[in-house]
Amino acid sequence: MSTLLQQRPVHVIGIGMHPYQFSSDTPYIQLGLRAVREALQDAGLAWPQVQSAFVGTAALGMAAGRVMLRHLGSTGLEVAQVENASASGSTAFRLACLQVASGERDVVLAVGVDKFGDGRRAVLKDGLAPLSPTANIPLVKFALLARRCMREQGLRPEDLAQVAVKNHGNAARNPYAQFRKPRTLAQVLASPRVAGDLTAMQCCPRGEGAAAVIVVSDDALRRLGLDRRRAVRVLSSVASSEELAGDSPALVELVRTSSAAALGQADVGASELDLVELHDAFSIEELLYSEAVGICAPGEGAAYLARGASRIGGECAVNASGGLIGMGHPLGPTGIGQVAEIARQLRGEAHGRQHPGARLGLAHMIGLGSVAIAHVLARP
Amino acid sequence: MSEAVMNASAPVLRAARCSRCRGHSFPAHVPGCRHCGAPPDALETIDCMGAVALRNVVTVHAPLAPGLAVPCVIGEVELCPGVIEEVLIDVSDEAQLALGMWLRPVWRAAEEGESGNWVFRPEDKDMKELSA
Repeated sequence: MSTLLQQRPVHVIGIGMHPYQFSSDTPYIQLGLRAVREALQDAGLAWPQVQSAFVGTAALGMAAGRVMLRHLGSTGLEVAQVENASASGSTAFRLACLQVASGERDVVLAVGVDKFGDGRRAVLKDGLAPLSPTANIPLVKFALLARRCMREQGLRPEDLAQVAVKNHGNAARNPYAQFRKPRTLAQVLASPRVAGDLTAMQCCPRGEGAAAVIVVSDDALRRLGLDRRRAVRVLSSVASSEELAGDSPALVELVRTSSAAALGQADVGASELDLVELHDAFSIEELLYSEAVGICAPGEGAAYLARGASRIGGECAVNASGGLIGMGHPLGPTGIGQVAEIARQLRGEAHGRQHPGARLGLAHMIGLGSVAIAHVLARP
Repeated sequence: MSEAVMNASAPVLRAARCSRCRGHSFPAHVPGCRHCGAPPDALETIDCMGAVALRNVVTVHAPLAPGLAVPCVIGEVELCPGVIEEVLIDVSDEAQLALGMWLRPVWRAAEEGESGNWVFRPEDKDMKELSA
């Protein structure tokens, strides 16, 4: 079945970031505007040429996008705010791509921006009191999942910690990352225990930041004289939510099915991927999702990491940005930051952390442990 | 205490069973079957006060939620068929537990100004025999 993205190609033409950082007094509009201006400059576009904007944010509140974007000038563009928990930015990007693919618009902005602290979770207002005070805390769920995997697959604490070692190392080379220091295995293991076998350095930090991506049609590339050599093609876009999955972890199954759908839509095999940015909010996730995406065999996630296959320069660089553990996870920006990182890598512009010969990348995001968004991108 | 249905003497832990698909949901007053979406009038309540086996366990060291006293021990149990739930286990040390150990829900009454909550306690041999 031919999808809209195949019928009417969509390209990432501009990327911009405000570095992820710990909470500050900087107003969110300054975070977001820096990212948008950088994306405009990167694309060679002027603000009035942008026809529509999707703003991903999980914690800012009503109409954050309009309040921010009016400072770029009065152009009458369409603005819609998107909230989908950690996948807010990924969802904003998906909607931007589909709007261009549908033919309704030719130049669309997806921007994610957030500050930590104001988010209110609907699950706490559903009138259904949980059995455990930790029932809605993702970290505890992943600590339990890690413990189960350690028992069933023979994983050791060191296997989990190596994810953080790699991703902190990548983040140290990324000027947009919240953490900029490489960490040793001993440091990761010695950091304070949070839950189960997960230590603090194996968990994503809280923070703030912004990421922006501009997507355009083929028509716009031509008509506006944009640089096609820097245009990264969006091959597929998939979104789904978890289903009850018997005894297997529902979330891992969700990653498997959504990745397979995105790769299938793009007509790309998992073994062809050069880059994967995935939801490593907690170290165990990267091991399990590397398997679920299909870049390594089931049960081989730790071995894949241990032999260097997922490092920059390896078989498939996983979280070359530093991932959520190293680069940070400010919620709204995170998914768009993944796309920006892959686009930068595919252009060959990730100076200091470039994965050589990168042609294909997968951006995979999870929201609230129950929704998945996946995109496959290709080198110009 | 919405998951607990009060009777004259003590709360009862209950879940829902769907009369259409026979699937189970928790808590008892869910607004729809999580398997097939059947409305509440298709759901019947079932008692979950029996002993359940411990499937998984970790210790939480950091205060991750308001009012969560740490360290605390969190486990996973199959509360009723197909419904895996996190539960607070009333032990001081994870080492006191073993997978497969039988746990029974106990309503821990509220202290002044707080609400009560369910905890799960290892069942002694006599209680296990009673529940068999």
